[in-house]
Amino acid sequence: MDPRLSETEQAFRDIVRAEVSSIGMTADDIDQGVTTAANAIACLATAEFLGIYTPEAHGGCGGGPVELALVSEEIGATSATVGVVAVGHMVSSFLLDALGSPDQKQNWFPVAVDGTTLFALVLDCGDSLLESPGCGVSGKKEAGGLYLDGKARAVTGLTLSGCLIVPVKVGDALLLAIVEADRDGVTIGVEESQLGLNGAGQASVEFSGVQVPSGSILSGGNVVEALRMADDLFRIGHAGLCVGIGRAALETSIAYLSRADGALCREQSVQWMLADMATETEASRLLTWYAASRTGPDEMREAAAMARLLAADGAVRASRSAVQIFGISGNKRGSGIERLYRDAKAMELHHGAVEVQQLAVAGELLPDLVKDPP
Amino acid sequence: MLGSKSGEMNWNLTDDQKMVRDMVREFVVAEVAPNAADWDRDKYFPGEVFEELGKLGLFGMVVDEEYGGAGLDRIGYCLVLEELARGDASTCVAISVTNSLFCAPLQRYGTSEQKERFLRPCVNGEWLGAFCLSEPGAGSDAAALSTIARREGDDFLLNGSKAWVTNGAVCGAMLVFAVTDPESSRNRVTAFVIPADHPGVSIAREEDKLGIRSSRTNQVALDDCRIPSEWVLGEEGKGLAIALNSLDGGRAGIAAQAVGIGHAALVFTLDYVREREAFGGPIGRFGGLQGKLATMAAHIRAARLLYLRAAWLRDNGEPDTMAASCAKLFASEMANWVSYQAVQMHGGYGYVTDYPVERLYRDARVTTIYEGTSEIQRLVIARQVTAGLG
Repeated sequence: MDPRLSETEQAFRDIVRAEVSSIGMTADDIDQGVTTAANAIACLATAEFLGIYTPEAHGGCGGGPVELALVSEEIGATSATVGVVAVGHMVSSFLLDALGSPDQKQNWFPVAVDGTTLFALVLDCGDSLLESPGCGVSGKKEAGGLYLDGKARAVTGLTLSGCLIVPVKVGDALLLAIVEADRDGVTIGVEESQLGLNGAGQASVEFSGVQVPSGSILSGGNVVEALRMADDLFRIGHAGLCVGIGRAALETSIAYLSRADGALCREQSVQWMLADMATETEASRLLTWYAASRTGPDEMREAAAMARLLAADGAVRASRSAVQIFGISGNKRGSGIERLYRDAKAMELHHGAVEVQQLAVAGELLPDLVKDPP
Repeated sequence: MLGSKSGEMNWNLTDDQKMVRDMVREFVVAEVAPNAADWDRDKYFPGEVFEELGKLGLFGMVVDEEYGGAGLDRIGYCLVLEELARGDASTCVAISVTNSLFCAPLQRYGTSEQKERFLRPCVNGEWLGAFCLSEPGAGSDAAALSTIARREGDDFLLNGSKAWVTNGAVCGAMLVFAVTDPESSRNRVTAFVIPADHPGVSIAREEDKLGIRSSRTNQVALDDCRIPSEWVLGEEGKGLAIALNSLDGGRAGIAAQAVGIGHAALVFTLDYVREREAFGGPIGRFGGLQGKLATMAAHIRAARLLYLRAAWLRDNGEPDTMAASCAKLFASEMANWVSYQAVQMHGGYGYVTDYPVERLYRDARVTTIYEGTSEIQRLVIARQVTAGLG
């Protein structure tokens, strides 16, 4: 056993940490709509982080779940809003790799890696991938390709993305279509204002007879299996974001205490909050790393859901304590602290709410009693 | 390129670690778990089972092979404690104290003569060890000890009273911490190793406890207990550091014990919610219970990873104070919460002794108290994260 990051992983994490620190400067502006997340996403692209899950042969980093967990924690510690968009993009890259044809990979990976085209997965951000596959989008095969009709609400990253990956039901089959956001028949709604994760480009989308050429259908593998893995990667990525929020809550609190009267950090009520924040964040981090390092799909499924479950709860608790430590100044919009709290709460709902994660774990514990575990 | 698909992070156990875990699991399933309820009811210390545990080498797991011990690493040791606690937390604590609070400090600080005399019997399964730090008036505040060891020539004369001594009445020898220099703030306390049947040592009281009832917890009286200076462990005046280091090392073990309790509570509850029917079917089909069970499982898994990490750090000579405290805090609070939920899901049956979760609930309670309360763990962690502030 060696539960440490390897030297390569540590070096990788350090690079990510240094590169994403500038995103933190704009996190509150993104949250408040002063600026969009586009610039932050461009920073990630420049630093090559958008290609974490893209094979090296296609210009990416060829990373795996551990790298996804590491980069997610770092982005989550600066801006969870940017994080959920980036994780959606990275998981899209995974799907492109798993299901795309050589030509599709040749076409799409370069723009996915350099960030000129951001990918969004079209599913209600409250759902997991397999919970409601298709999200109400159906397709008909006719001459000229596939025609899509239907809509999805609350899709993350939608207003920022140039390309959508759409789960489509065609009869009983499920397939994935790549649809350019500006294609005829695609109507993207206005970005929604939310409690947390503001600025993540969340909006609704409607498809009205959208034509998708056959070259844009991802059908080079087992779609359900790939979506299952993508779900686990979402869980690991989002667990990493939550660990990042928890870490930011702790580190920001310690920095605040270092500037405040020394008596404050000698207060036991404050010390105990710090201790719980540190402990729960570490527990979530280890569980996330553990999940990311599983090699068997079933093992990863259970561990990823556990990590997601624990990390979201830990992030809410840690950020709530951080607001408390800051006192009334932590309640002020733009302080950065209350944003952590709102973002953490939103993470309990995002892409598979806490209850969905619980069902996924329960499905492993009680497979005979849990119906159709997600 | 910045990264590569690593797969380098390794949570896998070694063959040796798996072997010792499986051996103990087999023994616990056959000899310990089936009897735990009876031992708890009767407050019976199962000496005959401890004889077998001693033969398996579990009294000297952490002792170097040079002294006949198993030389087990800390990870393997913690795995054994988890297995024991799954069957019976009382049995677990007796083994835990012997290894982490008696053998480990003797191994680290003892002279070769002390090791031959006091470690060998542990290794041979002849006796258990005890750790006498707390007193009726000094628990978490270990520096406030009042037991006095007065030097008289080549001897020390000990007088005082030690409280909450696990294995007090069933041990062969004990570590005793006493004040040798009342005027000093830094070198006030010295550690001694003393045979349990030495003149002047007596068992003053048997505690009647909420949980871990089949383990022995005693008050130990030291009345004009004269011992030779050869029984000083480590340097004179450095006893508090020995005590705190030993407790640091023991925390991952108590975390493992708590994980064992939590794991057992979850397993019994999974069985129960499959069998118990209400409103036309097993209660395990209800989403509310499923959600609770999932959260229990996640907390147990996280607690296990925390203790494994702390144990790994100690095995590799890395600082483990914070990791061990995090593990102890998280795991012991987890065990209390998980066993509470287990009782709740059993309903009335969880409240009576017919089902094991009632015992687990009581057994879990002490894990947030002994070897450093949760409050002390929080102080330790907070000091680590705010080092240099204030």
